[in-house]
Amino acid sequence: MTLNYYCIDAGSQYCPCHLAKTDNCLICSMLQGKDTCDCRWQGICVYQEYIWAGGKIEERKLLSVPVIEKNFVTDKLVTIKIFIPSASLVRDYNQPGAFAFLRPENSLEYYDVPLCVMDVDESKKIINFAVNIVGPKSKAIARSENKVLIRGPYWNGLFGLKHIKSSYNKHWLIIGRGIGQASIIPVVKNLLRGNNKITVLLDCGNIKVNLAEDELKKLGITPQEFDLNTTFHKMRLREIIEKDGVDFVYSGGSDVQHKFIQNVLNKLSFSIPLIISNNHQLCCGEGVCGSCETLIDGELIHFCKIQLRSEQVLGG
Amino acid sequence: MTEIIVIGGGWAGCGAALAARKAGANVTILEKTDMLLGCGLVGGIIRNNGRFTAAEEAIALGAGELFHIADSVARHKNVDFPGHKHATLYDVTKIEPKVREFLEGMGINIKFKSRAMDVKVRDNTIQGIVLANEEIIEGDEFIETTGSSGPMGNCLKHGNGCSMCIQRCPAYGPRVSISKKAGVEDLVGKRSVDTYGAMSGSCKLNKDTLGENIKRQLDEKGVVVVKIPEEYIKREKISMKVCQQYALEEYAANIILLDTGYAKFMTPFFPLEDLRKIKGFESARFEDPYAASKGNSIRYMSMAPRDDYMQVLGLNNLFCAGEKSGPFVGHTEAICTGILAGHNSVRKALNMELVKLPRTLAIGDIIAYVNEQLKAEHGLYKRFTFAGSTYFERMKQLGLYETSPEVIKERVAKLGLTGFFNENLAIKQEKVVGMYNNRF
Ligand SMILES: Cc1cc2nc3c(=O)[nH]c(=O)nc-3n(C[C@H](O)[C@H](O)[C@H](O)COP(=O)(O)OP(=O)(O)OC[C@H]3O[C@@H](n4cnc5c(N)ncnc54)[C@H](O)[C@@H]3O)c2cc1C
Ligand code: FES
Repeated sequence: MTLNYYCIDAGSQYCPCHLAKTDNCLICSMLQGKDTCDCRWQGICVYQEYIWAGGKIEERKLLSVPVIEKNFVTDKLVTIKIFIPSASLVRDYNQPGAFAFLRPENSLEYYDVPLCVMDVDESKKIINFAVNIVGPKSKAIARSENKVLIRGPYWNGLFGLKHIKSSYNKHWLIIGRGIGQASIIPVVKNLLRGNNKITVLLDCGNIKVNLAEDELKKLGITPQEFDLNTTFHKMRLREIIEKDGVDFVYSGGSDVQHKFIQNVLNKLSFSIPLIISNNHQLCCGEGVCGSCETLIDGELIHFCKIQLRSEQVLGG
Repeated sequence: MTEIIVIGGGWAGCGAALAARKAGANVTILEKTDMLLGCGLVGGIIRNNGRFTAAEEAIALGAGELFHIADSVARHKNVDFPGHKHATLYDVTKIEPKVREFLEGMGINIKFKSRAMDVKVRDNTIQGIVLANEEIIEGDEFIETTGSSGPMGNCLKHGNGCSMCIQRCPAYGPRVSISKKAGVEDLVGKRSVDTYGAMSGSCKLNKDTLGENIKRQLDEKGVVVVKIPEEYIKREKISMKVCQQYALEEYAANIILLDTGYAKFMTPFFPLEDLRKIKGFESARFEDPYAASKGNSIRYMSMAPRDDYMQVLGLNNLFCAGEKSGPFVGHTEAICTGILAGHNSVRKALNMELVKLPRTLAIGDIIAYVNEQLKAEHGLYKRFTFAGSTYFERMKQLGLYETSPEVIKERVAKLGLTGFFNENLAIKQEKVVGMYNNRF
């Protein structure tokens, strides 16, 4: 049995991609240079799309866009609102797991920081990002004044997207910690559209503030304070899951947090799908540079492109 | 009880399920689409030339039910058309529910919209079939009858692209080679040194869109032959066809239509704008494939190496039949190979000796002959059918071709094989074990 996964971009306007062009498609055997067809079927034939497009691929564009607002929440945390001129492009950013690469104007590619979309205002065409200032790239983007360069949209910011998109009338427990809180608003908005019940736990972690709190309140959700480091809260987590009939858990935070929650879930007598934010080192986002590559069950996985189940990502 | 899992519900899968069930097993068919019969949904020609002999052999051997069902929905019997004699044309619009009801009535479990995607294997033994929804179906023995048409990547790379045929890959997902997933390399049919596969040889027109005259003749006689104006004749098409029994000059120079419920058009594809210039075809439209203006499905891209018991070589518990088991063309060929695979799978599960059919029967001979031919030079360039081309010639030479049911019955009886496939092996084995236990 081979590892089962799917490509986040297959069937989108950015499919076929560079990988198809170089005989490295993640889905199609023909576009891996083989003579016979044996694909990871995702509802479309990538080979057909490639041939019909005459071998041309659609690239994600690099846009220079204005910074509308910049707000230092703390000295280590800045939120940046940018304006995107195209309504359709804004719409493409408005989904759970969306992210983009941002870098200062007049800087080179290696300043690209992958940032998850924290919030989108479709009517004003504004996208909000949060940057945890840790190293040269985040410092540089935090210093940008009038304009930034943005490349996107990319969508593989979390693992388990299909659960979020297909959820109706279910109970979701959402746990956001540190900068990982930035990923939860698009998830919550999507789940609210499906009439799901949502419980949110926030742990400020090392950013020292609850970044998502105000926006959640605007959406009618009062988040509960939480501290992953105390035994009392660990017990509470289990209690909430068992007593309140939680159907799904989303964890936005570090891999340590994901694993911690995974352990709690594994001890339950029933199984609850865990959806997690993608914490891999992303650089090109296209499956080309290899910075996100990891060996899983003997297969080289590009975490920028591939949707897996959380237990495959975390192991165990 | 013995669990037999059949992957693919085409004619071969139906034949295999029938025989395995008769032999006393629990049988499940996994079919990716919403209907049984696969290519049999758009075929319809049986009992032509040597297929008559094979069908009667299967009946005498005790596994003729599927032929009886086909006969019962025949639109025409004893039809002759160029190169072919005494054909029966079953109604492709009526047969599927009949077969489905019959197999379900036998207690066979049919899982539709269940596309096999992968296998779980340990030590060359298949543990289970992984469906596209990641459900795992476990069993003792497995029979792969996934056919060989498509998927669309093959039709595009080796043909004219997906033409929207009855396999409906875009809707139900692609065919998968289970044997290959289990680690056995496929044999790939060839047209020339660097072109693979072969194109399905016929398409269908909606009968109601044809001229009154043609329609009436079809209904009455079952066959219509119309001369194609010289400028539209495409002789090169003959060489790409699967069905070498129809690779005759008549099929290039004429429109040959057969009444199978649709007007079966014995040409792989034909540009509609050309077709409509011919008298009687002014309003014609295609029924299968929907894009028969541009092409047809590519087949024989994934055959499994096998022995004459129909076991896939290199695995401990996988059998195969139909197009999966070699360059066989036809419903009759699929059903007959399926029957042997189904029967032997139960023998295997019960640790009984496997059987080959004697080469004095056409069915036994074709199974062994195709295997020999595949190993010979250019074997991958050939297709085999009881209905024509080299194998029908061979049948005639060897005296295997016979059109009297009585004589065929007699042949089978002389071999001591009358009703052979009717025996419930599971009960028989219980009896044997019972006898053994009673002695102590
Ligand atoms: C257009 C056309 C017309 C024909 N006309 C005639 C005719 O008139 N007379 C004749 O004798 N022969 C005819 N043939 C040939 C004949 O139909 C085939 O050789 C024969 O029916 C093949 O049977 P099969 O069971 O091996 O394969 P198929 O009929 O291809 O059946 C395979 C089955 O497996 C299923 N399947 C595939 N992959 C999977 C998967 N991964 N999981 C689950 N299910 C799967 C498919 O959906 C299908 O139902 C025709 C063929 C075509 C294409
Ligand atoms: S980020 Fe470059 S390959 Fe994944």
